[in-house]
Amino acid sequence: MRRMLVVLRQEYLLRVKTKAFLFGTFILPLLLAATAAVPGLFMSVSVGQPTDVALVDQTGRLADALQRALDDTTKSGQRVYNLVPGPSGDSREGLARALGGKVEAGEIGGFIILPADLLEGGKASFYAENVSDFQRNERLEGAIDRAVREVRISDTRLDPDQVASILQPVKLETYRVGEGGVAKADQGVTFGLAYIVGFFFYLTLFIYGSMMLRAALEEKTSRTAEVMIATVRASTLMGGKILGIGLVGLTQIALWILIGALFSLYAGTSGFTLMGDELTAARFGVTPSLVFYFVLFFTLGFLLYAGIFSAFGAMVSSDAEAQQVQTPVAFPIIIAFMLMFLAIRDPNGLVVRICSLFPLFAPILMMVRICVLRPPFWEIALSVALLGASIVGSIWVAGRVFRVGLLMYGKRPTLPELIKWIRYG
Amino acid sequence: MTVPGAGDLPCGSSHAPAQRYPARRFPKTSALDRIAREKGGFMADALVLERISKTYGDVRAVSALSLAVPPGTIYGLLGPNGAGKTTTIRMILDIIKPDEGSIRILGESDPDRRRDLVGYLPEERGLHRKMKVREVLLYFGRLHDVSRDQLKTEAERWLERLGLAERANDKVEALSKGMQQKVQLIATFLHQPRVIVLDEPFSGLDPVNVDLVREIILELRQRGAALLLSTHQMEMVERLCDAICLIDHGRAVLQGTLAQVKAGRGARAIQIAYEGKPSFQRDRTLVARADDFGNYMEIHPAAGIEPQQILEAAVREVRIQRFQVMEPSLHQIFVETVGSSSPAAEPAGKEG
Repeated sequence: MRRMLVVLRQEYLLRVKTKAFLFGTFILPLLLAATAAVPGLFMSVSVGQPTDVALVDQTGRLADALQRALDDTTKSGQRVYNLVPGPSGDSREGLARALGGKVEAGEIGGFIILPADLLEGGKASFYAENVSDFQRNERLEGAIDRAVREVRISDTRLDPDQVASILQPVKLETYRVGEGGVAKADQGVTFGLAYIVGFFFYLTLFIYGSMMLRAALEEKTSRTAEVMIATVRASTLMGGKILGIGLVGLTQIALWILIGALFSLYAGTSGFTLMGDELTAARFGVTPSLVFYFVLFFTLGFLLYAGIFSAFGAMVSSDAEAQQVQTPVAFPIIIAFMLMFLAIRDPNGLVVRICSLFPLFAPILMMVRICVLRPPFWEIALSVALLGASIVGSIWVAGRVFRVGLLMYGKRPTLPELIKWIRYG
Repeated sequence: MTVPGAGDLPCGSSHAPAQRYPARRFPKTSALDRIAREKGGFMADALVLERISKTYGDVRAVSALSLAVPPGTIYGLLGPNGAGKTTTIRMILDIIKPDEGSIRILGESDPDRRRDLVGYLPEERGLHRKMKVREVLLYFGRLHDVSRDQLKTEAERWLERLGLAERANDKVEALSKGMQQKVQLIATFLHQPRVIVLDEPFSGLDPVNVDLVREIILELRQRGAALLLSTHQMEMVERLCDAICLIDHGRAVLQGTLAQVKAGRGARAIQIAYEGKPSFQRDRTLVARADDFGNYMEIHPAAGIEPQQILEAAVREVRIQRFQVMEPSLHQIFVETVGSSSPAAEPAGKEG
């Protein structure tokens, strides 16, 4: 099918050479990576230079314990907050005035007042310019809590070693059971990966679907449809368009994977961290088989939706109409996206298992299931088979609608008209 | 047998037309007479429609239409709006399928194989706006599976010829309407089709470009292509076409060479301005009716008598100052034929 390749080449080059493609491929992931990496960068900057925090310890017993507790909560063991003794005095107003000036002048990052009755149930207070950083607030609260307990327990004259062992916090580690045995996995990371993959499918099916819709509409708005249909078979034209745009998608994904791999490599060698986690592919549970399924389900999902979108693109006559039909066509994608959250939480639930076999949902749901908890092979194979069969069906129907629709201008067809198109197309 | 087609000849060459149709100087009587003689001898015809019909719901858009266009001729497809011209053209291009009848191009009835043998300029013009002029030409040529190298040289030559060489790297959307139309015209025959279908090729062109396009159409005929021309511009048809088919309500109501069509509209009147005393007008074997005004006379020749014979007779008796054969204009024929069927004469918005 040399002619289909001609269409494919044309559709591919037309889109790959646009600024939008370059932006989407190179700038967008950089922006995303930047948004993800910036907080991490800031955090690593603050690690290098601990913030001075003035401490007004009216109990006179907590300063050392608090500094210890604060140092203990950082994963790297590096000091984040450096406590400096504040002025003494009972009046909160006086203290606030004296230290407030220092905060505003930037000499200290904030100050903590531990009232004399703190050990007997009083309230500690923290003053700073910005107090909405909940991560920091939690850390301070935890540290003060720990220091107070330590002092309270030591008052009971228990053995300090015993106290330490009593206070030892418990950590929960999660393990993933899957291909090749058991692997240590962070819950958050597994969720993150499944979510990112699901969201990615949702987004790309949407983007390339509407690209397909527009590619069909384009032949109508530029009035080239009639010559094109006279020049090549409608099926050649539609096939070329679908494959061309699909290839644009795969090119973009390949470039993203490449960028990701390079980044992962860089992160692995440079020890670049995000919130204390190494940003390597393996850390996220990305395996070669996952990449394989990713490309497989993307391709199948795209082919299924491309046929549907192109049929609708051929049915409408203007951009405004295209907008209108786009939403209902994309509805199954949206439903699948919502079901995705259920799939992440309960990947083996009956609803999720059934829905992930349904061809319109399968690309997103089965892929998410594969990320969270590898389903039995027969389920994956069945969903691929069902997808394949529906692709054949949808492209056959779409091809007929496409052919007739391309030559029709004006009114959108009614359902009976549409059935007629399909029967006699 | 070999059909002399455009494909055999390099672009722009003034190769002699096929031996079979040498009388280009008298195009209106050359090739088409042969069809009239040997109906059914379709092998030589580049484009043949045999009793094709198409029905939409209750409307019979095209009804048992037959026509044949030999290579090296221009065939006019005429008719009021909504008569079925566009439907007919779309069936030729396999955009829609006829319900009945067959369509053959160079004897080929398989739509897939037909496609590369035809070039099509639709009434609704359009090129891919985001593509460059040269790209768009190559794209259409490549879709017909013609080699890129061949297309490049051909495209270059035609762009040059139509004064578009400097715009070859511009995007289509940057071109004026007239220029786009010329580019599209090139696209219709760049793959060297044997049959070229042109739907209103002159609409929207300025007089200079009309002349240019007419020149190109004649050149394509010269090179042996069979052209089907659909237009409402009767004077163009009269000047360009070898034969016509006038359709109305999906039926062919008038068909044949221009001479035949005009002959069919009754005897032609002859006007003679003269000095002398003629008597030939009383010869009933020669003249059916004559209105003599003393030095001016209108003559209706007897059946089977050519104007040439009247002239010969007149020259022997009088001194001729002016001799003119008054043919009914195609415009007149069109209006008379179609006007009688009322609703079709009105422009019906969309063509069927």
